[in-house]
Amino acid sequence: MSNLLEIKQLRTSFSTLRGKVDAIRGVDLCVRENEILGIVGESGSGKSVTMKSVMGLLPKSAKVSADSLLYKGEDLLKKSEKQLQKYRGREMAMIFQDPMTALNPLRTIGYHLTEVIRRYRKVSKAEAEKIAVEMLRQVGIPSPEARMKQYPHEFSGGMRQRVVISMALCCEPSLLIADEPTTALDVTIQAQILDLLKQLKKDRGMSMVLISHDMGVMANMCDRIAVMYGGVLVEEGTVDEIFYHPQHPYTKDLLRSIPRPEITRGSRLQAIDGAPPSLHDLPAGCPSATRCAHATERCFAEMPAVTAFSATQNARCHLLAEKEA
Amino acid sequence: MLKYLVKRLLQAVPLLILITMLCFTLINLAPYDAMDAKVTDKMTPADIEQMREEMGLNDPIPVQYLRWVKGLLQGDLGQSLINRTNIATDLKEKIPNTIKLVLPAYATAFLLAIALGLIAGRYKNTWVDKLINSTASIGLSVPTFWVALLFIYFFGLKLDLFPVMGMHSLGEDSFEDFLHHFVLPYAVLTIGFLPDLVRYVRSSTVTQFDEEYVTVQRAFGSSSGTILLRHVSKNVLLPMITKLGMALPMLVTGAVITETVFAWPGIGVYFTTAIRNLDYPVVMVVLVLSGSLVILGNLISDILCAVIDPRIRIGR
Ligand SMILES: Nc1ncnc2c1ncn2[C@@H]1O[C@H](COP(=O)(O)OP(=O)(O)O)[C@@H](O)[C@H]1O
Ligand SMILES: [Mg+2]
Repeated sequence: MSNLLEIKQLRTSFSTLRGKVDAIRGVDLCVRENEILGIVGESGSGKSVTMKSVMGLLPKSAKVSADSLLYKGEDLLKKSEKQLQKYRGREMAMIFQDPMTALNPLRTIGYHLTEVIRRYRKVSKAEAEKIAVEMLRQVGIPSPEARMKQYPHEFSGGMRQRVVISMALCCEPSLLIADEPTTALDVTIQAQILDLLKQLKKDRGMSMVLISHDMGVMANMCDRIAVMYGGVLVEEGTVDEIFYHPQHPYTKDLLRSIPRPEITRGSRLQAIDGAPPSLHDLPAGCPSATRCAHATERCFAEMPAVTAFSATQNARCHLLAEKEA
Repeated sequence: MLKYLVKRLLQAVPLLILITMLCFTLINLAPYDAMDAKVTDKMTPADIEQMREEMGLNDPIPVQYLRWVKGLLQGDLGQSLINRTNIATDLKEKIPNTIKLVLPAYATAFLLAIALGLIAGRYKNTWVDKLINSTASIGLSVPTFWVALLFIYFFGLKLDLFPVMGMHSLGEDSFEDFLHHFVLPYAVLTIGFLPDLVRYVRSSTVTQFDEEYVTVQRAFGSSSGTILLRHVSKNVLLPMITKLGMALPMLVTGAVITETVFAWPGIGVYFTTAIRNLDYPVVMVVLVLSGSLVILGNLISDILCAVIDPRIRIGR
């Protein structure tokens, strides 16, 4: 399998009123053809910023640098804003957490869809409408013809997320980035949307990056998982490796925090101790050192290097590196 | 929709009553009444007392109030104490003059503000925005009469391009002559309306560009120009309709200062003269009129919003 997207040493910082914030501190990541890559981590760990950096969707206060950002072999960093715009939608599209605010309240669903369709295909308005109806049907929206004329506020959250997904599909992207697409939805709706995404990925053979803070979602959906913490990728591996042979202490903590039906009765859900570090005064060393039960002085002082455990699994941890050596 | 309309109209009635009561009470609290304008040296106190009785000024206040409101409802706005003219006739003559000045000025300012505000908001923090925004801020803090005097000095006196007084030259009645007189007060008034509107449009554009739907549009390959024209502008313009409704009372009282400085024969001059002469029936009528227009304007803008905004569109 070849790499669709290859991120090398991504660094993203924001200039804020309180000074410079280093949100992403050297992330290496790749997305292969036809796979679902999961990015998991607590809120604020840099998952969204990582993928928005790739898409070029961050505000002007953000500074993105990297050794390279290769998409289908082309370096996105060398593209102008105008060229990047051609990539967005057509090549890679992104959907977001809150379907309630993702659509223009004053435009109909039909308008949203036909606008995207006519951007990429030379078709008449009537033909675009026909395609749009078909797209709505594909994402499981009942009586799509009638729905075309309605406004976003006439849709439920789950239905809106389906609309946004269908907008993404209208672009026929090779890579779909789904940033916590179900976090704002009810549990039953969550499962439906995830099923839909999985089905679409299978039917269309596209690659997907699925961002979530929910390990349970990851297990169901992904081929590979990357664990992020404090703007750093602490571990990555296949689903089996991450779930059955987690290496990094933080990954293990994350796994322990999944609610499991068989043990919920009588035992308490384990939260991870401590709070994520503030990005304003980040420790020089391992970002999870302050919350790690095994941390040594070295962990606080020095950023750990990457240790590989298999062709697909690696982690950043001094303790693991020492053990391997 | 009809039900909503009727409901809103009924809600406006108590407000109107309140406005008339307020105006009447406030004016009656003033240490002065209709008699003082009529008293002459030749009258004896007995004469004065008799006249008071005849004019009903000795009746209890509520009775006087009801008499006045009844008159208003029948279209009898009363008489000016000073000129002895019929107020309704005066208004019919003055209001069109004011509208001729305010309507073009407000329309110009409104359209200009939309263009400038959208540009400034779209190019936030660039030099274009800084130019537009800081000019608007300065404009906001400069009083209208000062701009008017400046214009009079430069364009009227120094360059002698335009007349600085009135609406027509004596004996002239042509449209050209009107336009010639119109230019300066129109320009001053437009400049007066502009800054507030520009800043309003700009800030609402900036807010809209921070909305999530803009990011989503970008993620699907929209250029920011397309986003501005097809998505943001609609969201910016919708609340502007509210502004339009609120501007309705300006058709009467929007140009008091400008009219006074340029001696434009509109409501503004009529009103300020009445205040100066304590011509209280005129003051009351103008106050009630502009108060009613505020209510009517709000009503109109609410209805327009209800018709246009799909989120509150009713009766579907
Ligand atoms: N526009 C911004 N300005 C300043 N800091 C930001 C901005 N966006 C994100 N950040 C910072 O980047 C960090 C990572 O954010 P994000 O990627 O959204 O986290 P998550 O993993 O929850 O998606 C956050 O801690 C936040 O403080
Ligand atoms: Mg996020």
